[in-house]
Amino acid sequence: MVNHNSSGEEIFKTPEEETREELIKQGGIFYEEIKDPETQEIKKYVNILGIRVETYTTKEDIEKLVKGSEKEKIQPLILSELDQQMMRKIAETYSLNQALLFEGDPGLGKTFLSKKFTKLIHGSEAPILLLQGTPRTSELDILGHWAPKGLTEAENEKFKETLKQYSETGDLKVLRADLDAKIISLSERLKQKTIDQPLFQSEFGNLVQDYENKSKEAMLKMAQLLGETRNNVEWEFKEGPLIKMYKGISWKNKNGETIKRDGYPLIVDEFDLIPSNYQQIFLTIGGEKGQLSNEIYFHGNTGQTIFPRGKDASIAFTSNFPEKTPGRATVVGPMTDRVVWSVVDSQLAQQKEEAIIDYTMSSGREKPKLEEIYTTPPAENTIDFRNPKNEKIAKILATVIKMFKNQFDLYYRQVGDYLGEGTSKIPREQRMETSVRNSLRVIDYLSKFQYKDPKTGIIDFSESLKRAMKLYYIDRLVDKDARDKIELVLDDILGGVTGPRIDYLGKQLTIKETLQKMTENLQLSPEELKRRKEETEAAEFAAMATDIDKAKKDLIGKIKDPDILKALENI
Amino acid sequence: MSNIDTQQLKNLIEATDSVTHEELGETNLFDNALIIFESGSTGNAQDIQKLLSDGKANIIEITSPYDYQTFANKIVEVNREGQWLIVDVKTDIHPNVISVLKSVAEENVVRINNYEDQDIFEMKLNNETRIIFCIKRDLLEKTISYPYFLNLFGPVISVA
Repeated sequence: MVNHNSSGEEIFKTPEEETREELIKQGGIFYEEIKDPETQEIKKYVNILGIRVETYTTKEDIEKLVKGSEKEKIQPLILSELDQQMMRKIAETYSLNQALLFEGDPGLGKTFLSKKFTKLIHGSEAPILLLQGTPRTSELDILGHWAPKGLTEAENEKFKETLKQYSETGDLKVLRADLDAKIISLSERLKQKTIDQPLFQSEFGNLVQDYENKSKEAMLKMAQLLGETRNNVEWEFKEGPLIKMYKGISWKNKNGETIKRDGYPLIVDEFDLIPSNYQQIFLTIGGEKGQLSNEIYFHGNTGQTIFPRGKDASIAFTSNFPEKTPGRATVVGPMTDRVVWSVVDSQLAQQKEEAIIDYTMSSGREKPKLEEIYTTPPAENTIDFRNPKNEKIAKILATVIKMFKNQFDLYYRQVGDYLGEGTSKIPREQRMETSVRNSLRVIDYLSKFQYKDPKTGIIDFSESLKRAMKLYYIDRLVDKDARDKIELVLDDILGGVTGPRIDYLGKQLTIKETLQKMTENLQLSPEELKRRKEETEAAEFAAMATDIDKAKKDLIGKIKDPDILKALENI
Repeated sequence: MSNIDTQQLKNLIEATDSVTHEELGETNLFDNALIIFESGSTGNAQDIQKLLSDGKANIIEITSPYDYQTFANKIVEVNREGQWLIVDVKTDIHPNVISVLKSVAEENVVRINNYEDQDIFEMKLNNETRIIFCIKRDLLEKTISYPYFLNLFGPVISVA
């Protein structure tokens, strides 16, 4: 798009720059409509800190959710740096069909932002599908259970009355009384020694058998009677939140219209509180390539039911640090691999508290700044590195992913992770497992989210890799020292002194440099490439000339022989 | 009424009635209240009900950790009528009850899954409705399994 400055000169802005400007203007989140180039259909999106996600709701509704509404008592959404980081992760993982888990102290906004995200996609009136984790949560709460189909108030009362009458005057009561009387009589005969022990036991067994047969008949009769009280005592399966997530839900809006969704976002709050054997039910969400599974299975009385994943299905978990509360359970190892595990940054958490205080005390005048890293949108057009013609780029990316993963795993095995600071650090009880799923998530991320170098305008794979590795690996760690060290490892791999070198067009380049050259070749026109090459060579020549001049001056300063000096000056 | 400090209870009732709190972008959130009866206390949930005007409060017991329907039915009923609900806790609490307490405390919403033929039943908390839980100290410390139980409440008092 072409704009003009105050002098009337044309200023070309890239779509990414325009998006960024809009984000800053709108507080980090805005509504947009885009025509699908293939179908020509206008699609509705909410742009959340640069990540575009399809929405069902309207521009006005999104503005209400972001800017607030006094009339409807909706507070404006103020995003501290921590909120920006979390919200961005929610949007990214949602776009990639990946399950997300936030681990952190209570009160940081983990659940709040997940709920807000649901509303941004489905509307401010949309319900929230939430499963509260507690030590009592079981498969009945997660998957669902059978229950009698809802009776009307009158039916319910008649049903209860019939049951009451039957239990007080029915056959079962008579049978029981009869059995008790016969047992007393038998015991008396044993006591009086009119029968011996073996005979007592034999007759006792006959009495019990007789009672069981007759009470079975009575139960059947009671069931029939209950059936006559209501035409059919029907039972229905009450689907739990996990099934609703995959299958979808419906609700009535304020106009009485039924809204249906194919799949729905599920928030599992305080997941770590759920007993570990029931946590494992959620392993079923793990699908191929680290994404959500395409279906889940339910094994009930009628056999196996398959619930395919609806297009709007997503899941976000929240968890607290088990180390901080005595007697708390960790999340089971395999689950840590099924999710994108994200520890809430404790430094940013502290800054958030301060930002909230400043905002409140200033009556909303002092708002937190929108950080560049969270308002830089990914490139509109990405490089398809899985295309065979871009094989070399793919190989280099694969090399980085493998090297970094190995280094991360080694560090984690040898050093582990810690909670706390300085001398009060304690080793983490919560363990992480990362399989190939995590590496595949990185690849998915790089396929969809590539970032441009703001100076050159070309795709910067190094930056994109850093973002991906942070999301999928580094942010699993709590200990800041560990995170810093791992980041240095990545920097080194990409372009450090001890990092690998690649022979590219006769030069030994770092990975970062190689990727830069490769993407330049892909994205720049031959004329632009030639121009940049000439510029680079000129700059290199100028730098070399400066170095020679400096060396010459240094040398001249040290030599006293006038003949040698004259010869040097003529160089 | 048993021999307990009624002024303390009246203060709690007043605080529950009039005080609201803010929570991450939500304001004017009403609080759930909690009364802890210390061992040896002769107080009970009925004492609270008597302090409220006639017909203002309903009282139920939680007697099974597997039952949430009783609580769900009652909270919806009192919310429709703008009444208070006093809950006498006799055992551990079902996760769905915890979930309702949380949604009330954090959003002023009564939210129950699979209720009244709705996938997700949501009802804005009536401005006049409040929830007071009553529990014995012993039960609170030894039986309530949800570790953040106290965080679900605003005004909390301990009655000797």
